[in-house]
Amino acid sequence: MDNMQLFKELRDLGDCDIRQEPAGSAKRATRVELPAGQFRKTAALFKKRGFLLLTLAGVDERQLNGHFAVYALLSPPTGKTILEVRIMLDPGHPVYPSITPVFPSAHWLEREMKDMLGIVPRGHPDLRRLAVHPDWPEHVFPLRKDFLAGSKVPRVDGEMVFCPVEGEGIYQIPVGPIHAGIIEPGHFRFFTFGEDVINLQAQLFYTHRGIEKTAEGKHFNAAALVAERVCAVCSASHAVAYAQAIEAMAGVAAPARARYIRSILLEMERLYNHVGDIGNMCAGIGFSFGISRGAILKERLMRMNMRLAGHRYLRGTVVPGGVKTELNKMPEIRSELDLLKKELKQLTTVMLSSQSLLDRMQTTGILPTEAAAALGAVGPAARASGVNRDLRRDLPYAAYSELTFQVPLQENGDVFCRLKQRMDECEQSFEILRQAFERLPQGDLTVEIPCLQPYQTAAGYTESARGANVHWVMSGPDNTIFRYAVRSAAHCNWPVVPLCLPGNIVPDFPLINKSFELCYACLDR
Amino acid sequence: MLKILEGLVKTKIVTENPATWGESCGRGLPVIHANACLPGCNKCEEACPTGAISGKAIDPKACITCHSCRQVCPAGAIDETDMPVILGSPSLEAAGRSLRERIKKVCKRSLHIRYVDAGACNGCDFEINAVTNPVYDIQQYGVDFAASPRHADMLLVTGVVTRNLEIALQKTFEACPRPTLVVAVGACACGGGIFKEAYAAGGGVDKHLPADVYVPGCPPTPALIIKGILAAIDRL
Repeated sequence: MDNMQLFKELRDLGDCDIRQEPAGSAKRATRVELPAGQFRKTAALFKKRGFLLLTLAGVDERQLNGHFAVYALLSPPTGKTILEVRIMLDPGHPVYPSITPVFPSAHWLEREMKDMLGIVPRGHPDLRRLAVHPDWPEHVFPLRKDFLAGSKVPRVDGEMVFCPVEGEGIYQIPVGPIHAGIIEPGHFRFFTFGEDVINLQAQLFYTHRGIEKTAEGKHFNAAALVAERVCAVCSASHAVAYAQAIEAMAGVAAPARARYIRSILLEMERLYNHVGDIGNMCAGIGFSFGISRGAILKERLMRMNMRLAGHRYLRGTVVPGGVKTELNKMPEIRSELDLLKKELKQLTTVMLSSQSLLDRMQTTGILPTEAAAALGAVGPAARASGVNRDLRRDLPYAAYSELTFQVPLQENGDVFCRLKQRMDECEQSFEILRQAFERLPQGDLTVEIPCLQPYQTAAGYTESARGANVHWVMSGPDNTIFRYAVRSAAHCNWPVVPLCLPGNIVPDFPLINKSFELCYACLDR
Repeated sequence: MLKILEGLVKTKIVTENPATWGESCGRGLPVIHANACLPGCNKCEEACPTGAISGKAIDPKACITCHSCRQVCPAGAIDETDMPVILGSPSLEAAGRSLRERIKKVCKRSLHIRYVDAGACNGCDFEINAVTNPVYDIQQYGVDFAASPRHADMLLVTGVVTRNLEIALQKTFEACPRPTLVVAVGACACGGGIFKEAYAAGGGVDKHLPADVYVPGCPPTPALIIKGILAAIDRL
């Protein structure tokens, strides 16, 4: 795609201001400023040109320039430079034309912006509350600057609103927030006819802790501790994405050794997640052998993390500028990984030859390719439905541009494909790890981060075990954070899960949910 | 089928017991040696993201083991030690002891736990899951997880107790038949963790329920969690 051609078409649509970073700059973003009224038309142009929406973030900039702002981050169809579009809104009446009709993947992002900031997307098909529960009062917006951190908000009366599903013999099964197993909380409302699920709706955000607000005002190094704690099983992915955002903002690049170490940590994280999920999916069908063996292999991987990096979830390893410490016991870990690869193969061979497993998993919980692509699904769930997206290949970061790997793809989008996808990705991860250990270059572990210019923006992104994970940061004065927006893979995929239920029976839900294995904490923040 | 049997025979038993647990308890609790401190220096207290340090003492319940204190200490006065399990407050100690005696009598050598995630990052959640895996196998102690609070002798709670889950947590506690123990797992549950002042976070379990045992860490290892559960019923 010719940038000049794109910019000409942008200018033809109306006034806009385009700023490009110099070639080879560590900042890697083109910034476009538009009047709010042109937002949807411009989004349509980008959609036509094959751009994908990475995230949207609303910011209360009233103390800076008297306006609210909405930033949209888009990734190009080819090339590595992301696009950041900004519109400014009237402080008294912050309304803008919704881009959900153009990019359906924006629908939850825009609803959250409305709940957290009071910025209203005009023309959005569904303006019910999402991130705040029915007992949150109207007109209280936590991410506005005049809402002080730590304020306690009273409860009001309110009822959960679900889209009505009517018919003779239809009844509702409410499940959660507290579930029967050892799992995170969320509320699911099944609308069923007997056991057949007609419709599934979810009310999530039970583990909403207010992370984005917590990071505001913190020094960027202290905020790294918050970034790691959005979620535990995506901890390294969050830490690396956040560190990359700070590095991009400062215009520095982490040293080569640090980038390779980051890739190693990220692939170790991918491995323990996928191996854990492979075992856990057997729990959805009651296949005890698979559950136990998968759990043993996962435990071995967690202990390898502990010996390699000092923490089972790899916390405290990645910092803005590089990595904090050396990796330990690498030769041991390498030979253990080789052994584990063989044992994983034995486990998956047994699993794939089990007729009852195939019967339960094939044709269950199908996510159609068009739905996955339209709604912006990411990660193994999207690739299992044939949507070929992987940030490691499309927008390389850490050491991935120097490592050789395949991105496997499945076609049918059922639970079995999501299982197979994880098995194939594990094989790739073993290969990436082998290369990274072998080619690990000598050098420094960190680079110093210079003073950050205040009120600059930057994004960092990683492909976590669940998909594209984007951290967008706006700096404040004195090296603090002014605004921190996290769009994890779970945020992209949760809206897609309810689509996979109709046509299945209620007891298939735990299996379908486990085949996505999305983190509630990543979504809720 | 044959492959399964073959696999089982080759693997043998992987379960470990407390005497042979094959890993350390992780990044440990920092310990300040005050006699090695530089006079007038308060760098550790300023660096701590959760305010766990005051008067050169570290509150394990608030510590997230980030070791920022050790990094900034100019005198190298901060060491680390194993993370401890902490019993409930002294005033509850007497009540707790008699509660535990009653539970021991009632449960004999068996305990059923209801787990509640009250707003955690899922680290403690997955570690508690790990406690049921063949390596740790908490069932060997007669302890198991129940699907309903009505069947539970103990409530295992992780997370800060978010605003959105507070009511569900209360209802779960009320649904547990008495006597019931409450164990707070993880830095968030023990003291609010790094989200203490957040508008949606509730500051930890003991602001809402009476906690009998605290298992600090971010997250605590499965080994420490088992120690905490067994300590709550005086089994260790």
